[in-house]
Amino acid sequence: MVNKRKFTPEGVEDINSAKYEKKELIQTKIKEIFRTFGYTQVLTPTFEYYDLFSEMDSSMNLDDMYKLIDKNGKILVLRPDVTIPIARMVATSYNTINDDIKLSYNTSVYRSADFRAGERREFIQAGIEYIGNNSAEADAEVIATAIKAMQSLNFDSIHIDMGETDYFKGIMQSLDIEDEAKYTIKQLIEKKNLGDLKNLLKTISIEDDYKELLLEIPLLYGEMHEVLDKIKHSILTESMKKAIDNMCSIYKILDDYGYGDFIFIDLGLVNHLEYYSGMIFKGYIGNHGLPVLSGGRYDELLGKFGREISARGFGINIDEILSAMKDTQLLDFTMNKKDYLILYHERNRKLGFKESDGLRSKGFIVEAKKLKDDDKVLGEELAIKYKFDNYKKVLLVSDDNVDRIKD
Amino acid sequence: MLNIAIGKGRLADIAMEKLNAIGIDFPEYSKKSRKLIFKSKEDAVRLVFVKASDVDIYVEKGACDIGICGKDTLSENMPDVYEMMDLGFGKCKFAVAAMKDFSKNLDKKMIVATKYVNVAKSYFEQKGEPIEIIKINGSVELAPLMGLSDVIVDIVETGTTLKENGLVVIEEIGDVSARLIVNKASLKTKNKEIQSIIKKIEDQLQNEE
Repeated sequence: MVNKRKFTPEGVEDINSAKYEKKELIQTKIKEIFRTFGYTQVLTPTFEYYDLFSEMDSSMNLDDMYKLIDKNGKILVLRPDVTIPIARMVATSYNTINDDIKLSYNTSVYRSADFRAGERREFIQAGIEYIGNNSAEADAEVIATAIKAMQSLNFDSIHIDMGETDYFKGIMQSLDIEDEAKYTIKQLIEKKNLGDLKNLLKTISIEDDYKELLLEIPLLYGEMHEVLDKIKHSILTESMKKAIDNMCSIYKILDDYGYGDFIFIDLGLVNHLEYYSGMIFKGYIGNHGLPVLSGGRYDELLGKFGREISARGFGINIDEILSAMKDTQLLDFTMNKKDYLILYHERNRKLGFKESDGLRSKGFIVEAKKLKDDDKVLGEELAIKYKFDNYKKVLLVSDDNVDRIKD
Repeated sequence: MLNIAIGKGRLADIAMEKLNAIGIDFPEYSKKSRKLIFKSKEDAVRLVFVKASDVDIYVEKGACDIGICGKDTLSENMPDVYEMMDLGFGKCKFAVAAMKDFSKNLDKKMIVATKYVNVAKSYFEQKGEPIEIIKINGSVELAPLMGLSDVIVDIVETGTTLKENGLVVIEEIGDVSARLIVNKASLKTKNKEIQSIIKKIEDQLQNEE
């Protein structure tokens, strides 16, 4: 057997300082955007009871969670999702607050991954939850926050795919067919698989009008006006009309934010219907082939903890952002150059430390090094020995003053 | 520029014909060429040849925008992609096959040899039949002949290979044909280019009918 001592398990990695710094900067910028939109940060535990997730219609597969057995036999999981624990937190710790609650998070999430697809089983997720304020304005603000966060990372090509789950739910409510058939229809629509959907509908007895509509849904994507145009002559029940009106209002508000051009409508976004209610969205950047953020509205979630209140939010996958950046090189990070090297002889150590301290308190990165007695004070040799290349400036502390020997 | 992935093997030639028919030419391409990447005139499309069962991963991860591969690969790998068109060629069936004199013995778990582990698993799970799977990478027909397995799950086109090896189809699982798949981000970010290709292929398919 190969000794694994030198390897990290699949789906996780050591993060070197260059990558860490980049990752940290991404998080700092995103957190700053969340803060300016009025969010305060919270943290939920790494360990949770399995029951918290197993009894919930969540957007994640129970098989994908890492489970541990507690000393007393209880099943625990490593935080597989942040929204559900925050919903619990709001329903319990924040239960006396009747105002809107705006919480942000930035934490590791653990999920079993498809290693064939190079997925990671530990990644950082940064996100927000906006609880209360049952309005299109709140929904739009959450999407605007996501766009603003992407803009803060200098991504110029930002793309938000927005759907409305109540539209599809409205159709399904009007259909008198088995749940299993509904599930298959949903799966085929999510995959925009018209060929198989057509064949399936041949075997199901529903009105032709509805068959036509179901076959249209996968193609109901594009710019807002294009989609509205496409559904002009289709069936529109009361609940479907409400869904479309809601989507239009959210779009109009986003247009006032100046973000209309980033929004792309897709009424065929029908994944995780048990979890989401109303708008859902996914965000793409540059030419990156996978979404970097996703979110939506989930009005039923808080109710599961005994508090009926509307909610919406989204999560950004920081690791996905990082790999998207590698593709596009959109951020120019200058790293690993330290600001100052301060060289001193033992007899001037006090002065050397004083000088370093002064510069550090101004925010500079400073390293202080003691010179050997036989070190030649000037010249190429010293520059090589003390690696001047790694520093922007080098200072030499002598008996009565400080000389700049590299500037 | 659009990147299109095509699986080497049974679908490649027809897929190339279809692309030619809609006016996408690859001047450097010939069947004998060992090159894996070809560019169309004006560099509008880049074509890459990958192993048939890898097409979906190139598309899912966004390394390619569009892929042409068999439904068999999609059923097995279940990638998160848009499965936008049934291209209608490369038709065959997923089937369970066994030796002529085979009869199911309900006392023991049936042993199934296949390339398509997930397809076999979910099929027998749905039927409620317990099985053991042996993953085989090629010449699956050999497995029952050599006593490695009781049955096989494979795609069957004409049935000639089965017949020549003394096997018969005992159950049909489902239809397989070539599909056009699209990366979920690309469909939105490169919408116009992709739409135009899809439209041309659609028209082409209708003309053929």
